[in-house]
Amino acid sequence: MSTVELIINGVRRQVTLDDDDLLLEVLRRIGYTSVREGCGVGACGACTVLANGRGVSSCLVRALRYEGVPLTTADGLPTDDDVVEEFVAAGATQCGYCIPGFVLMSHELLAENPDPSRQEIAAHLAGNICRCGIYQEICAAVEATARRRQARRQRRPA
Amino acid sequence: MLGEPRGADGGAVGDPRVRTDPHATVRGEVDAADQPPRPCLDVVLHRATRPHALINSVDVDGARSVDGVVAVVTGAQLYQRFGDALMTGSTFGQPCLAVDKVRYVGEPVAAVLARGLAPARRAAERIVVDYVELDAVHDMEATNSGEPDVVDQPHPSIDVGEPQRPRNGRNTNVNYTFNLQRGDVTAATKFGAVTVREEFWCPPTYQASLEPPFTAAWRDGDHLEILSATRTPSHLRQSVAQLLGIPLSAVRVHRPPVGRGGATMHANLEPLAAALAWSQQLPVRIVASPREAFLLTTQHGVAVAGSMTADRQGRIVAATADVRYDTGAHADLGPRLTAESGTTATGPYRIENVDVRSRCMYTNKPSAGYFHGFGTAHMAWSHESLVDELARRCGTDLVEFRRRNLLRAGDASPVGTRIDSADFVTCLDAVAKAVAWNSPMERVRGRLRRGRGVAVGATCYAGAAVRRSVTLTTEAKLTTSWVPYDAETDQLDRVTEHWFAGAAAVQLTVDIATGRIHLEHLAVASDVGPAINPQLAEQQLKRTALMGIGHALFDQVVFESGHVVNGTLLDHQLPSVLDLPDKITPIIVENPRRTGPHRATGVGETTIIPLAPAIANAVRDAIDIRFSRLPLTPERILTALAEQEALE
Repeated sequence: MSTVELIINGVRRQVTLDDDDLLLEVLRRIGYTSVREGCGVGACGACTVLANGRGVSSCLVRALRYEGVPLTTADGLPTDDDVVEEFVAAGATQCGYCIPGFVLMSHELLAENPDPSRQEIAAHLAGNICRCGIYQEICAAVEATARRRQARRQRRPA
Repeated sequence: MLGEPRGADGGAVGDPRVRTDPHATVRGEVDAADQPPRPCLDVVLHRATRPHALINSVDVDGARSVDGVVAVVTGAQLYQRFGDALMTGSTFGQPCLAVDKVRYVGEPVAAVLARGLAPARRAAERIVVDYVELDAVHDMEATNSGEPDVVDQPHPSIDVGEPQRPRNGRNTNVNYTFNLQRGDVTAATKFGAVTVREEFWCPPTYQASLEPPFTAAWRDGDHLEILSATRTPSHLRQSVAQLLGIPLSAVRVHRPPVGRGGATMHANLEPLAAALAWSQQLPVRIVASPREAFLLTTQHGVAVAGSMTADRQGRIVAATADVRYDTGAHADLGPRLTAESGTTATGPYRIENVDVRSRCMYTNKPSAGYFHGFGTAHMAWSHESLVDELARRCGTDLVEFRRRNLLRAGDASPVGTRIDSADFVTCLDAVAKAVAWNSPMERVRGRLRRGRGVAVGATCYAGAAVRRSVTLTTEAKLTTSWVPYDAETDQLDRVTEHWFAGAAAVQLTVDIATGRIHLEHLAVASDVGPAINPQLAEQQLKRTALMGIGHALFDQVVFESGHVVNGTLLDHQLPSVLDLPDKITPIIVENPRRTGPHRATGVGETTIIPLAPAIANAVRDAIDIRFSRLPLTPERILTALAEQEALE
């Protein structure tokens, strides 16, 4: 057992954990409800978190390694998060279990590529599984977010 | 097409509305199931490592000595406490812990209750079971005479009443038979102009809810509280009450707001949690690991040997189907699927001469369960492939041939019941139009071969009438107003008038170098009655079609000597965003029912049912090869292409 400092959604938290505790287990234990176990083997993306802005399958990594690394979970996004709003507007949720993982992967994609094609969106989200199968709505939500950011950039004076 | 103005009942019906509280769901603030409202002991199960074996002894001393372990419970202990209710209360003869025999690899043998998951896991590994191995029945080909009995003493289910039919004696692995006979198939086939025959196979598939199966149960005085992501809370409540021998009012089921729970209609963790919480007077929770989830249930593997005969005018005059459902070691929903899809085995067509034998069979595998379509997708794989081939042999357009023969409102289905209003013809015409069925297309481009295919899908819920009638035939003391099936022909004029109609049409390419199928355009239609929420109805049509694409192209659970060999999502692929067709056209057909709430009917299932045959029919169109076994993997396509080339 050791106590480490995790930085989650900008908040520093002292967490007691075993050396081999998975990041998924630890985050769920301390109340981050959007981080979820799906397949346990890194094949579905339900457990996705962002570490320094990069998508990580938290079911595959030890929590200890993320001491001091800024982590983002979907439930910690701002209430007016643009990706979340576009997912809602596109009806991109059914049972809801996998959607937080898709939201974070969409954030990662749009940070790297502000104007992704449908193929680029599909390639980026191919590691996430939505068993309800509402991929069309999810892709539409990503495209709508890209358009919204584009419009915001154009409105802003150079 | 809608018969009544929208909103006649107060406004909401017919409006596209968003879900309640979507922000919290998208952000994941609404939690999934696995957080019960009170602290619980963790339960980990020791599971069988043999497909078929007597339990000589269960040594739990090593497990009891693990720090943090509160109790270790065996099937024998539970049987002592609950008696035969342990066998019958939940599912059809499936004990929640094996009592004297294990019947499939992964069957739970003992339960460890501990403070924390880690000690529970350690202790479960320390349990030692001494088995006496028995010969196992691995597949349905082996369930002929002379094979060992998987279940030597079948227990009728006390909740749905689906015992063996009397004509199946002991010493058989057939637990239920549905024989549908109408007219004179032999004579009609003899005088028909064209007959096609084929043997079809749908492998078992994994239903795969992404959330791991989970349940928690705790006792509150004389009440049992149970938390479960079940789709059937009423059924769960009933079966738990019967298992524990307490009134229905003493059981409360809690369902979490997130998660599909969709894999299993009758999950098998819940009765165990109830039995443990009740007998040990302790709050418990059971979370199946992703690997364990593969052992809980699959969709049935189904074999169909079918035929169809047409006369010179292109009318289907006779059809047969010899259907076998591999239900695994415990017949949970198998008998219901066997009866309900037995009624649709020859498709939604007007056929005067029909012979269906549908059997549900035990094998030493996990108990097979429910999935969208309730077993009828397997029937569509057979009848929509056969009717396609028959139309080709008759030289008739594939859409026109179906249109000529489809059931219409008021027609009697093969089981003898007149159907209400399922609009197969409009669904079929709509999807054909969407993919520009009759327009020319570029058939060959480089190594791509292009084709189009169409299929209709039918399901019907032969509800209480069937169940009660089955009960009647075996327990004569029961009186009921329901009329049973005819004892010989299984005909009944009131099985169900509620048929659900759907159709799919697809344009695709087959890459003859890689064997890969690429869907260019998929159109799906469903007769939903009036759409209660058009936006969500369209979403349902599209997304179940995507599940159907998985079944058509790659889903299957592979067993070897009773062991699941691809039991992770690395080895068992599910449809991803890359499997989306280039274009999907969902079409809502609104044909109000005679009866029912808002005169509506089910949405979604009817687009999964015709998916695989629509794709296979398009593949037939593209490369001139008829496939009878699913899934249509690149390997299977390439092998068939090589055989085709060798013949030329």
